[in-house]
Amino acid sequence: MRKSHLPSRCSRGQSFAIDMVLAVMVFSMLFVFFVQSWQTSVTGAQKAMKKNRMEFAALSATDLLLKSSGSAVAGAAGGFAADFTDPFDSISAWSAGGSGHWSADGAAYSTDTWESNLYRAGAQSNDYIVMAKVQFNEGTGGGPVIQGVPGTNYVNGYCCRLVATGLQMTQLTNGAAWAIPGAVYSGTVDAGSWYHVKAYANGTTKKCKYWAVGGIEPDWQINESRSGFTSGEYYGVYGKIGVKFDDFQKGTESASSGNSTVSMAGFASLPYKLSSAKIAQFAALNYTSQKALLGIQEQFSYHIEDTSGTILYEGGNLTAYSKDIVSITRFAVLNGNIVKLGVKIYG
Amino acid sequence: MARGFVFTLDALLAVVVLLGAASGLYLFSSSSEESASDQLLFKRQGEDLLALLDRQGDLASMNSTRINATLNSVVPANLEWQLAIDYYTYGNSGFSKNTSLSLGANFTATKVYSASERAFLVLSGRFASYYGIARMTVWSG
Repeated sequence: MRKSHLPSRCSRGQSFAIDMVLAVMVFSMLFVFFVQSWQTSVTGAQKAMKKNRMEFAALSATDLLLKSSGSAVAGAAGGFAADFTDPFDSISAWSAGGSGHWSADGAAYSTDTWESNLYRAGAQSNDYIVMAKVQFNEGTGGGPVIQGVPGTNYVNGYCCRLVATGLQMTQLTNGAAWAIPGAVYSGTVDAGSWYHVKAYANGTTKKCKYWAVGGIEPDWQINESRSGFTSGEYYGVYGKIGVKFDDFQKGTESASSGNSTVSMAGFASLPYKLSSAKIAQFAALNYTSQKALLGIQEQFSYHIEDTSGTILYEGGNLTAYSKDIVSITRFAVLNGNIVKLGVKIYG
Repeated sequence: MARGFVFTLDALLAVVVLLGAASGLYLFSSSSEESASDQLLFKRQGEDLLALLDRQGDLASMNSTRINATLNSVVPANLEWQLAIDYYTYGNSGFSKNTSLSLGANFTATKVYSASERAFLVLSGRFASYYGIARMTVWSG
């Protein structure tokens, strides 16, 4: 048998050296394990903190939306510099179309004629805005109209017409009004409620928008390019029995725009009692303003559904996606029915 | 046993203890954060539900079937709830309990729950016939 050259036993010094090598190896492995565990812990804690912050943000947002019963305050949205404002007090400056008759009706003006224009002529212009407050009453054959966008006379021009389903742009040709295909905006319009209707014309560009009185002015809702009636001097209103107008204004678009001075907005007219008009006002805000009002840093969306799960309203960023989603559901009343308000924040 | 092995074992034990402490601390802190936000959400949801029942006239109806129907139509499946309502009358000797309603599931010990309370009136014409207190407990199902 061949004799080994290796010693049969290690010396004490060799044993200590092997121990030290083993110790260093174990220490190294433990160190790596510890660092990785620590990093995992820190990352996990950061994720948990972020999720927690998102949950509190969503909760605060639903609080604001459910309990903001004050009126929303709008800044100079759309930017408007008035040439003149006339609440129809100086009625002598206005003319009634055809055999129409208009008279004071409380603080507003209305016609007792089946249908009639109330108009006036101004300086020739191709870049201006006309607007008025309208108490909606659709009646038969179409709702109230803000006309003169611009008109070559009181029976020709483009108009913004409020209807029960929202807003239309119509063309008035020799007194005959017809809706421009596709030039519509769907929204809530309640009979008896007051709305601002605003029309803009600049060359071939014609725009319309409307919003509830006391609400936040939205961006333009209808924006059309039309080649007819690119300049004119007639403007006014057109309505039927039951419709009231007030505070007519004519002017130009000014530089200021946006709802930057909005200070509060919510869905509720009273705590937990949601209002369609206030939901529409909030929806009309741009996304950045919505996020700022609710104090949300991430992407978000909201929806209101009835108890059967039918979505009644939704808004925010509906295409947002993230693996980290916080979803909060709250409960309220809308039009006498219980609804669920959901807010999602995407991390 | 060689001195090196003892040293290694000692270090190993120390690191294991340290890791255990760190993991425990992390788990404790994250779970308590989750509990806090869930608890707040449950409190808000309880307040919402009591406000709805009050606004819809369900609390004043004193009708347990109606209150049950409303809550079952709106409370998500992942939530459990318990509602206790006491109706008081007011007379010469002060308030005295007249009727009590107890609805919903039996409350079971759970990691996260929250309770909300709302006082309300049951009106008959211009007068309050009952003074009510509703207490709702909400927890994860």
